[in-house]
Amino acid sequence: MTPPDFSALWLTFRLAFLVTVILLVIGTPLAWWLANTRTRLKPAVEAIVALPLVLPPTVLGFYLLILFNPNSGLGGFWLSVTGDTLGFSFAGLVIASVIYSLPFAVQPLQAAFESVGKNLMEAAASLRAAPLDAFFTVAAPLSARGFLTAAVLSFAHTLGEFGVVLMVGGAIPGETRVVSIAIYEHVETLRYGEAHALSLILLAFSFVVLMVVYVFNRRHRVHVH
Amino acid sequence: MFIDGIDIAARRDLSGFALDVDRKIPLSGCTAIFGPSGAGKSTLLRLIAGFDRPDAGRIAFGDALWCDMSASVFTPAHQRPVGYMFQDGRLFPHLSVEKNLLYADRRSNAGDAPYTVSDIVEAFDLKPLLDRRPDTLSGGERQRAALARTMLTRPKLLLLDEPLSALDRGRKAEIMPYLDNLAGRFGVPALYVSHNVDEIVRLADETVILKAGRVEAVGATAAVLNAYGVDASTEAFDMGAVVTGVVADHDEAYHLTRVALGDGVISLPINKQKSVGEAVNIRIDARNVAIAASAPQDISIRNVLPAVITTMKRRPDSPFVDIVLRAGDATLQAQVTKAASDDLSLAPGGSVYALVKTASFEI
Repeated sequence: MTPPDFSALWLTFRLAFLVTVILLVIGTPLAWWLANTRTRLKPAVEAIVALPLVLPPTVLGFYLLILFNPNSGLGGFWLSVTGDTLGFSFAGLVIASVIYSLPFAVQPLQAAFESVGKNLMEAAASLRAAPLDAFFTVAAPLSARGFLTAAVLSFAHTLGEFGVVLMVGGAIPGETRVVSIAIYEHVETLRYGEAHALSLILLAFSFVVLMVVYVFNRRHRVHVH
Repeated sequence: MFIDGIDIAARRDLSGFALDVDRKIPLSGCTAIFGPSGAGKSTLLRLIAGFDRPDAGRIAFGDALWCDMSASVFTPAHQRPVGYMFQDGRLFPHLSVEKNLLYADRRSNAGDAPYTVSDIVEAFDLKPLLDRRPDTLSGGERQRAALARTMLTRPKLLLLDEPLSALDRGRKAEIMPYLDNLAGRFGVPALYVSHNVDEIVRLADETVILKAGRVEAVGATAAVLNAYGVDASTEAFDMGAVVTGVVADHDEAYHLTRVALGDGVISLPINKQKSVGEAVNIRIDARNVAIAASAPQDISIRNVLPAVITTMKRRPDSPFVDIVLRAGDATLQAQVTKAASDDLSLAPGGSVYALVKTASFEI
C-alpha cells in the first residue's frame, strides 16, 4: 500500500472516531428527549432525524455545500471564528458526517431508552436519585446494548460514506481524501490492486466489529420487562 | 417534629372521573386507603409521592409544602422524604439484591433512621438472597427485597401501593409477617393502598375509604369498614364484620391464639406475630356466624359469644335475614334463614349466643 493510501485510512478512522464521539454526546440527550417527550412536535423531529436515511447523499451534500459557503450564516461564522472555510476541509467533513449518520446513533438509543421505561426511572426517583443520577445509574447501564449499537453503526456508516464526502469534501490528500474516495479513484484509474487492498481492509474490519457486537449481545443480555 | 397527618386538597382529572380529595389523612401507624379498583387509590398515592402533578390543589406534610399548584410550588419526587413500594417491586434488573439495597442506602441519610443496612437485611431475612439477580427471585422474595430497599430510603412516610396484589395466596402469607406492624417496628407511618379487606384488617389501624375519586370515610379500621359494609350491602364490599379484640394467649399445643372479645373468647389459628395484650382486628364473615337461643352444649364450634341482637333486616325475595349483634363493644353480623329466625323467635333486643366457626378467622 502507498503512503497516500495509509494517509487515507488514517484520515478515515480519525473522522469515524471523532464523528462517533460527537454523535454519542449529542445523540444521547436528543434520543432521551424523543423517548420521553409528549410534545406534538415529536413526529416532526423524528422525521428530520431520519431524513439522511432516505435522502440521496448528493442532495444532502448539495445543501451542506451551500450552507458551508462563506457567504452563508454558518460558513461565515466558521470563517470569522477559525479563519478557515468549511467547504473542502476536515472540519466540514466532520459536520457533514455527524448530520449524515445522526439517525444511526439516535434511533438505537431512542429504542433502548424507550425499553427502559418510565417505571424504573420512577423507582430511582423514589430512592432519591436526581434525574441525572438516575440516568447514569439506571437508564444508561440498562441501555448498554443501545449505546454499543449506536456507536458501531455511527462508526461504520461514517467509514463507508461516499456521496456526501464527494460533494462537500472533494479529495484533498490528508484533509478530505477518505478511503471510499481513494478506492473510487483507484478503480477510475484501473489500479485494481490498490482498490483490492483498501476494500479488503474495510471488509475485514467491518466483519470483525459486527461479530464483536453480536458476541457481546449474546453474553450481556439484559432483561427489561 | 411529630407529624400526625398529610393535608391534601387536590384534584386530578382522569379518564372517566376525577380524583377530588380535600381531607387531612391521618398518619399514625398504618393507614389504609381502601376502595374498589379504579377508585383512584394509586393516583392519590402517586400525587403524594410526586410522580404525578395534580391539576389543582395543594399537598402539605407537616410544615413542608410539597405541592401548591396555585403558587407553582412542586417538590419533585426525589426530594420528598417518602419511601414508595410498588406493586411490581421494580427492583433494578442490572443490580444484585445487595446493590439494589445499597442504591437506596447511599442516597439516604443514615441519621434519619435508627437502623443500618445489616439491620434491614436481618429484619427481612435477605442474607441468602444478597448476591441474586432480581430476575431469579420468586414473587415473594422480590417484594421482600423491594420493601427492604424502600425502608433504606429512611423515609418519614412510607407509601405502599398494593404490595401484595401481584402475589398468589401462598406468597401473600409468606410476606405478610414482614408487613405486620411496619410502622411500629421502624418508627415510620405508612399509607397502605389495597382493595383487599383481609390485608387492611390485619395491617391498618386507620382506614380511608375512597370511592370514585372521593373520600367516603376516614376513621378506625374496624368502625369504618363496618359502617361502610353495613350500609352498602349491595356493593362489592359485603364483607361481614370487623371486630377488635385483645390477644389473651397463645396455645402452642392446639396451635391456637385466643382473643378476648366482649364477654367471650374466640380462637384463631396461631399467629405469634401478635403479642399478648395487643389489640387485633379480626374479620368475621356474616355467613360464618350462626345463632343459638340458649348456650349450646356438645358442639364442635369453639367460639361462642354471648350477644344481643340490635337490628334485623329481612331480605326481600331471599330466604335470609341479616342480623346485627353486639357482643361487648364489638358489632357482629350474622346471616340466618328466615325459617330459623322465626323458629327461634329472634327479635331485636333478644339475648342470644353467636357461634363463629374457627376457620372464618384466617386473615
